[in-house]
Amino acid sequence: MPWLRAVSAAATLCVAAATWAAPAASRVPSTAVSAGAHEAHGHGHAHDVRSSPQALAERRRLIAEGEARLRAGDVAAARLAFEQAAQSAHEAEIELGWLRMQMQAGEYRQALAFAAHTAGVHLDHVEGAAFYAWLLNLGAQVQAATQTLDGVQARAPGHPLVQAVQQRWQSGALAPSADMLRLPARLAPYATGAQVPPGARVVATGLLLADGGHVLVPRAALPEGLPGAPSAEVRLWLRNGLGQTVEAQLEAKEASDGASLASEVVMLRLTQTLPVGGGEVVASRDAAPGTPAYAVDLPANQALDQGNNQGNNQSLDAAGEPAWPVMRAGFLGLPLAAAQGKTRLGVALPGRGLRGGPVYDQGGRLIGVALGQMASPGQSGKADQPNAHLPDLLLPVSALRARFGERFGRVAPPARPTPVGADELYELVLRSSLQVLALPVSVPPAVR
Amino acid sequence: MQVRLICASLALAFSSFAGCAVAQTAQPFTVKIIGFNDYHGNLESPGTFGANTLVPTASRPAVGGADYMAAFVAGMKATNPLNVVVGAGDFIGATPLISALFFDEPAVETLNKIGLEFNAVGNHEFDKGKDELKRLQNGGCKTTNGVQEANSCKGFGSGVAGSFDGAKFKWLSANVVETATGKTLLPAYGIKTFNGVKVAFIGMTLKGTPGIVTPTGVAGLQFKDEADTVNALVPRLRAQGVESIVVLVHQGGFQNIVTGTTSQPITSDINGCTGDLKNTDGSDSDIRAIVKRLDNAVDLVISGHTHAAYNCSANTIDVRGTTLSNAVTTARPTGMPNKVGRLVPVTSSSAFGRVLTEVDVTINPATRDITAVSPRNVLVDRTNATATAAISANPEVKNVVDAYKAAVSPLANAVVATITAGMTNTANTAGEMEAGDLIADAQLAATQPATLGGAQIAFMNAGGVRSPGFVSAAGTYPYNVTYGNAFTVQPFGNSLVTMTLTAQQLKDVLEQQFANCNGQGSSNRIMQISNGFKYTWNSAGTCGTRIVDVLFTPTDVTVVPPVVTGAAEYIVSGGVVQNPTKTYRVTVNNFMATGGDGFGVLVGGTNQQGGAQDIDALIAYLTGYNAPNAAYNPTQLELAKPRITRQ
Repeated sequence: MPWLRAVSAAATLCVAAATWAAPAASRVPSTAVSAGAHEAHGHGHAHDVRSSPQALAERRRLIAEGEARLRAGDVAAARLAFEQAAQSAHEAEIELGWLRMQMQAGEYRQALAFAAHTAGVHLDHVEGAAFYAWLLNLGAQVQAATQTLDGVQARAPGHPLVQAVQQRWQSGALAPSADMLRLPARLAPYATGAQVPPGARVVATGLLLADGGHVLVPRAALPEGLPGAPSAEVRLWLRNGLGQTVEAQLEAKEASDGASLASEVVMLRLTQTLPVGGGEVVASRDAAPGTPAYAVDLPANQALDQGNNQGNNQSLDAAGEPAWPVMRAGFLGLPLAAAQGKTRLGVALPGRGLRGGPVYDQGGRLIGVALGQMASPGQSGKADQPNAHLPDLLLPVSALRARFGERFGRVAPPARPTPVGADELYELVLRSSLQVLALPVSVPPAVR
Repeated sequence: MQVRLICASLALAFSSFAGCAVAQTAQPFTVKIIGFNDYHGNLESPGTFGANTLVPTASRPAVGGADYMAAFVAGMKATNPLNVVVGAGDFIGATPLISALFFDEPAVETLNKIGLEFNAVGNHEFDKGKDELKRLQNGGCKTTNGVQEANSCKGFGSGVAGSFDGAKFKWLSANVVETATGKTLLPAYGIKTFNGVKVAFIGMTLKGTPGIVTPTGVAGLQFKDEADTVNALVPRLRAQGVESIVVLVHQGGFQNIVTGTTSQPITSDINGCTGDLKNTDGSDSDIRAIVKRLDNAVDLVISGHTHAAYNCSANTIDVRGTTLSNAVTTARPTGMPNKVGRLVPVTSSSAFGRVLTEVDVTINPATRDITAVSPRNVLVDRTNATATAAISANPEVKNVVDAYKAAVSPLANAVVATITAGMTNTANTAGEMEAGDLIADAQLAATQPATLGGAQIAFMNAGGVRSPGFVSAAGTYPYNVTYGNAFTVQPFGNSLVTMTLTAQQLKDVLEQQFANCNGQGSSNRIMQISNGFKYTWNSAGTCGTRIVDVLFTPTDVTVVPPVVTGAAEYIVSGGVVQNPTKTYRVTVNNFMATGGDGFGVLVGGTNQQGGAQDIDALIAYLTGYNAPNAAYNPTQLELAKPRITRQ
């Protein structure tokens, strides 16, 4: 790639992240972070060669500081550190840190716009473009994401991050792989809050209710024997798209009635509240087939469980790693002819799973919950496992109301809503959709 | 002194040169120059921003967005009718999806409406090559291999929908030369005249552009030294009587803390100039190095590229402190020394529309030269009440942004079905439309289940089937119909109503389709009808006698393909209603149900049940023909066409 090498270190690349140095008094204390973690994948840096050694050293310190603060969940301090670093340098690494800070702050719209810029400016650092493609894909802009990644592949076909992203898209398993969790383009938030023991797995997606203290999850997500069984050692955690993690308990041990779809979800009570998006609005009546809709999922990291990260010397318990939710756009499906009361979700979520994530209309009104269909004994696929051949279903708001009451947010009038942008909706989704992590009873709960 | 001498010499050489003679009698006046840089197609707010780092994160207002930029520019212009809006490049390229998806036409259209007049090319203007840059300058739709791109020419901000006007501002490229011709790619400078005095704006990008864009983007172009280019133009401009010269250059610097110095403010105020734009090692930044070699005739440099905000001028301030409450602001006049050591004002306004630079320049008409320059960087603060009120009063730019925001939705471009042939909203001689058949079927399907209305028949008013129907603009099939296509055909947001009509009412409403019959207007309004319903009408008949035969065949349209589920029956035969009191469940939209389009008979329908929105019903029906399902074939026998026959 001769033209890439021709990128002059002196020819300043457009720096985009912010802008100013923070005042000395507001600087955050230094925390050591492995310098190796920041190395790019061999495509070179665009340093400002006329920086003094002191300035370069300070910049490295600030990057490390920003990363440490982000890892600790102190987004405000991370913002200041990355801002300072960006003040005098044109480095993709700083901008990627800034982008991850924006995502961890829930600022998807700004991150998306800024990532477009990083992707277009730092042509010698494909991580920026891969990051942008990943964000586009998460926010339902699948076609644009594919085009972006195609462009990256043409420039850096063997780049491990690019390959990892492509593999994930092809497999439909959109939880990040180990290659995607490396700095500087870590495609996931950091987990903060409650510590989750190794061995816990992401088993489904939950919907955070408007009170911030309760979550609906698919009944099938709970380990076998939990409902009605005295399995006190079974533990559950919920984690939002900002990485914030809390432990949860079953609200009431009600058995499925085996008939209504609504009984296939259960309510968990969080030990601490999680922040709500601020726009919790629920449709006053069920949406009709054909209604434009957005569905959300937080897929389990099955590929890593299957050993796809062989050769990777990182010791990640990736199955329990935090992730950003995946949102898809589509149109609500028709009722299943052979199943009374069951309606196809219609929105094609990637991969397969128990689902459990929220479904919104164009106006950002909650219109239901997505549920993966369980195979019955004798059907293809293991019983009680999501079956790829059966369509996902929609559990409509009327069923949720009937079972759990009016606790999903402000009820919106029935008029067709004013559409909100998909990027705006995704910011709500970062808080409203949760990873459901379960620790099977057979795994010793050794806290790491 | 130098300027006056030149003016005098010109006056001697060209005795009729009016510029000097006239201007010498007038008073100095002020021109407002509004500048910004690195817009990068940020139609929407890029987030929050503060005037300096002392502003706590939580207190920084949301900034930018094309609507607020336009409002702020308009507000500034209102204070001085002698004004000009200029840019320092990177206004396109590396843009958010809302602009990039539409080939950066939204960026250009919003810049037109903001009032931009001259803009330097930046490196990102070359991301897609010079030909594409020229298209954006001159207008016209983006084509690939001779075929227009579907996302080009949306025209939300152009004069005519479906077109792209191109830039109404002039891109300037003084140092970009086409190798083949030796001429600049675009004009080197632009001139605007105020009170008879010409002010020149020289626009250019950094000479290092080829190193930071794709090679194909700059193929066939040379990028020349910035200062050399300006200095070579100065004599040419002076020969035209120009003494007021502003350089718009896509190159910049940072407010750096220079190593080894003390007491420098570290708050990076947007009107600061910390380190005088030197590098941290004390060497000259790129912009400082350029200015250092500029001819003394240059009065102001509006820069960009680094996305930094600075104001290196007589208005520079140093803001020191650790909090806003203990901050101390000190004036410190600065500027960048030119080749004779005179300090030239140099500004930059961050990026993405966060900041505008408002520059008041004083012009001495006697010398035609700028005698004073007073720049000020201003946040494009979205909490500004005056700007908000201005946008409410004139939402033109906001409407453009909103239109593109809707168009960029993944739903707008989602494929809902594949069709094997086009279906227009043009009626045949009997009144039947291909597109109308499909819509009527969709409405029947949405209301056919017993719980949703139990409909047997659907009628759709022809006027509600909007142009162009379901067609491929390129004329190629099979064609993937998007949600955006479908919404164009069914844009009204009507809801469906299923009601009970008697056989007599069915005949009556069919008779009511014809001009001047039972309250109908002066022209025929032939309804579109669903699968399983057929009728024949006699064009020679009179009101109440035109419907000859009506045949109803129960058909399940909720399955693909539709299936006949019962025996056919004549509701009307030979003009006679066979069983006048027999009832049928009929679906129409809420407009028709209330007598719209002259169908007063429908007001008498009983047992009315509300249903889905028409567009949702259409989408639900079409998805039955989306991959992997077979495509919708409007000629398939199961669709039972023709449905309307004219005698």
